[in-house]
Amino acid sequence: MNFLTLAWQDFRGDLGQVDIRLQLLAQTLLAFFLLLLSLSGASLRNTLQQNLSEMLGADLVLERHRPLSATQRSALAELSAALSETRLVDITLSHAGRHQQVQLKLVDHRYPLQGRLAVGRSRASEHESVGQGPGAGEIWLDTRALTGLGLATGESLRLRGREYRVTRALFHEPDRLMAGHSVAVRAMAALPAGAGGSSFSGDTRYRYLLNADTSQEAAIVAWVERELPDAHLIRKRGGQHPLAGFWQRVENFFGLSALVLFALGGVAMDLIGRRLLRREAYRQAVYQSLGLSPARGLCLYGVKWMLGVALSFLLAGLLALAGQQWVLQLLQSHLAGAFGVDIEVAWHPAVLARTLGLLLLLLLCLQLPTLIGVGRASVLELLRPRQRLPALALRLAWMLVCFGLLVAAYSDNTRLTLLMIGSLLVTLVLIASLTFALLTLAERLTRRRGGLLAFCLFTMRQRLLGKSAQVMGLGLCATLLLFTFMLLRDLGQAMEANTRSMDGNLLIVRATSAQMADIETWSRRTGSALRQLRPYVRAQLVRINGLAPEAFSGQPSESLSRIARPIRLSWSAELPANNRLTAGRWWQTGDEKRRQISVEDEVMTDLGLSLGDTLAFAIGGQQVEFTLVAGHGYRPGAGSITFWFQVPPGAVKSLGAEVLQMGSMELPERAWSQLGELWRRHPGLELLPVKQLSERFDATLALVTRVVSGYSLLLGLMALLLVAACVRGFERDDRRKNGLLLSLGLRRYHCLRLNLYEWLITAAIAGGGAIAGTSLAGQLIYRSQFHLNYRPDPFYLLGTLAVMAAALCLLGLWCCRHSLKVSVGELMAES
Amino acid sequence: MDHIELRALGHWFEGRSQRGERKTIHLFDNLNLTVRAGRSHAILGPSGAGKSSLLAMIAALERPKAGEVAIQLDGKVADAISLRRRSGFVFQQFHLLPELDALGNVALPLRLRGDGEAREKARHWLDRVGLSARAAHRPNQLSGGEQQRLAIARAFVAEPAFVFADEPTGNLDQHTAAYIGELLFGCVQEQGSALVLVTHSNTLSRMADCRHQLSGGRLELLA
Repeated sequence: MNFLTLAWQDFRGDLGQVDIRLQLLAQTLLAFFLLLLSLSGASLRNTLQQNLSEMLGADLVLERHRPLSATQRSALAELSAALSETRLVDITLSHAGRHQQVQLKLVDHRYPLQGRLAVGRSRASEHESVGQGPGAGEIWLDTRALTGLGLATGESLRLRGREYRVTRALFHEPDRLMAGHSVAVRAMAALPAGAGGSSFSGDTRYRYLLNADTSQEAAIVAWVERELPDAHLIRKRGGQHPLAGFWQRVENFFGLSALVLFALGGVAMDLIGRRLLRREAYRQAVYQSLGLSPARGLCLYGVKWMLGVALSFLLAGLLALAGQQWVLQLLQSHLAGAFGVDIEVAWHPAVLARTLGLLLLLLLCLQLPTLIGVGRASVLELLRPRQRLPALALRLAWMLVCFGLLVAAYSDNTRLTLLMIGSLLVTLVLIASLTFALLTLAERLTRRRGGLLAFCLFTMRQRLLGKSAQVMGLGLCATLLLFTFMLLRDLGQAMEANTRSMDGNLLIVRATSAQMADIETWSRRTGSALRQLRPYVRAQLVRINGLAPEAFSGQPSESLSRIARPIRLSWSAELPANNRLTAGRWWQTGDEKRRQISVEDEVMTDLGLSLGDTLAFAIGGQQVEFTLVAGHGYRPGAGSITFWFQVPPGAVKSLGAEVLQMGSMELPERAWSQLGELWRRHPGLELLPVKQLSERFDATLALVTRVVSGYSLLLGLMALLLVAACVRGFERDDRRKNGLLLSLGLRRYHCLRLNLYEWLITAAIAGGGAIAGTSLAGQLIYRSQFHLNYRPDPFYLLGTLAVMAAALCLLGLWCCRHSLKVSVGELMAES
Repeated sequence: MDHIELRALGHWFEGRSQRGERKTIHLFDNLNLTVRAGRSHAILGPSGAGKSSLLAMIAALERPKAGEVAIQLDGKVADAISLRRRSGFVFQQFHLLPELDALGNVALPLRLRGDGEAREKARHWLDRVGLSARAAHRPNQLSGGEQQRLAIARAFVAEPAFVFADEPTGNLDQHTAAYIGELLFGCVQEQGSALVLVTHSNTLSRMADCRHQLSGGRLELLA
């Protein structure tokens, strides 16, 4: 009992010390971030898992952008236990002068094969569970569509010249999972009986819901792979979730974030730990000299350490639970409707135990050198500890090993982990060499010169070992911060560049020739101007060099997930004015009928394409191969519509596929109210007001910004902690030095100048290392993990570094000024 | 002649009594002393009498609460900073910079003054105190006596007009203390500097030209 009381008293006493508080704060921040990440991830994964098992509406779902032929359909029916057919079409509904774009699902009488629909008798009524879709002549609308159109259940609306009665409010369909994280407004009607195709023009998706046992499923998978290369198949058992690609990218980012925070936290704790070791060694020596055995001394230390860990974990756990609520609410509001159910906030005890266990292991590993040091030393050594280079190097190596192992265990992206750790190791070696070389050289050159700068270099060179540790810590911190800020900025800019540059205020997403003729007449009448118009056909990329795109590319990416659906294949004899050539050679006159293709630069990077590759597309029922001869990029200033894939004009015209148009228009204010005429005549016409587009983009950007801000706050806190640990590491030495210098006749401002020189030199070396480290990490990680080209902006890099260096110098100067406030006598007496 | 003159010096600080009441503790009052170049002064007294505080005031490291410290250097009135530039210090705790080696510690005052010959002069003084073989050693690799010899070398390397020593032998054994005392007074004689020494050691104090006793807030000249 006395022993535990002593440990508790020691612990309580230590809580008043700045170093202990810094250590606890670092532990708490690390635990908070890890718990938040793990708990949120687990909640989300749980929801995804539930979605998959309860909400696919079938055992398998096959999606295609063309209907199955009668033979294919009967073959599929033969292979499966049950089959239901649905179709999805994007149309605009109009009612009483109001318009609403919806995703209309046409379902047969067998839909859904599994699960139930949730509907209501009115917008606000209780959810009611039904096992079948709407009957003929009925339409069910989701609450947003009802609100948008000003409709109530019981009322009717006209669609393609036919009267449909709104009989239910649609809340949820069991195959919502197929919509991924789409938040489109939905409607549901019965599939016209006996219709070979739907009576709605537009981009129709054909979905076949299938029930099958394991052996039937295997047969279906093999059959689809063989017969329907352009089809997309989702399986309930061990299948890939549509959100999986998106989530993997998110996890990649957070994996990297965790790594950055681990590194910062680890270095900060190691720096603080070294000072704590000295203090603890002294205390242990006193206890041992009073008769405490070394083993009991270690136990005492262990109990105190565990108390600190428990306190950190408790605080972090409470904060993480609150944080998890916030993160999931944010995701829920952004992905509203994608899951159909709320993402449940839960403790996930197994996840909690695993995360805290791993963190405890890391902290224990970081403590091991201290424990060994304290446990092995004699009383005399404990009272007069010495720092030896091999011990320091060993400690550093040990820290890196623990850190690497833990990150490897935590992150499931080994490649990213290795790349990042490799970059950091190279950076550390570079900074250490730079510190040694520069300080030695500068000290030699200024040895015979007077002045504070020469003196500063002399003292820095003399305490090279300690200084190297400080510079390495700060360099690492600067590298990680710089890299993260740059990545965040570049990701943001990439998003913005992809989405923001628009001209005109209405985008024509898809119009047939007949619709286009009507639009032209309408625009002349309403005074609207057509800005840009490009023809295209819908094409599905089915093979790259004979392999399925996923197999060829190997890694999930934005482009890969997009090409799972048909893309727009455009043509142009000449390089469009808003494009620039980034690779290869554009086709010349005479090549116009040859099967050549140019691919957008970022898409080429994303998919890992090279010039000379063969790309096979399914176009209008035929499979056509193109040779990649050029790469193009967007050039602003000549219209915003650009295509990922472009071919010579003669290459597709002969295929007889339906030619569609994409373009942009500028509508005067008065024309907006007449837009409904077009939609009434052509419900399948896809027009998108730019405002609506920018709203969607802004919502995504707002989500990203909030998450990034939260992460930046954590990162900033951790960096501040590290800097505080670095500054405090030398505070005592600096106070002693200042006292001595003042006693030798230097004024206070000389001490401040000396301090400033020291921090500037430290910041310059750390900054140099950080720039090199960031470039290396950028070259290695940007392309392979985030599919971005690494093109650093030197002004941004130097500007950010200058801000960090200024902050560091100011903090150092503030501490120095603070320590100089006492008189020389006091300073000397304190030493 | 260079000198430091203490005129009606008084010093006190605020403390608390055992019952926790605020209490002013007087160290000394109306104290007068003149320290001239080439002379050595030893100040004796019981612990807590204020010897170290008095030394800090003579060395212009601290300001007195009452009275004045008048400094005359090269025939002119000088300030505290100028005095510090012409002073050397030897402390009981040595106050060597642990990150610098022996040579670096001795060269420190010269480097601060921009002396291009700092290393050579420092080597000479290391030799003078018998530590040339330890030039590359750090303070924590030296014994207490060696650290104090290093501190003496540092105090004299810049040819100071005044040297102030606070319990220079307080942490050392008798034999080493005697050696350090001889070294200190030998250097003072060689350089013609003034020495102000605070000590408990009668043996050491007897080596000084003047001996003073600080007790009960008064400074008495001992015979």
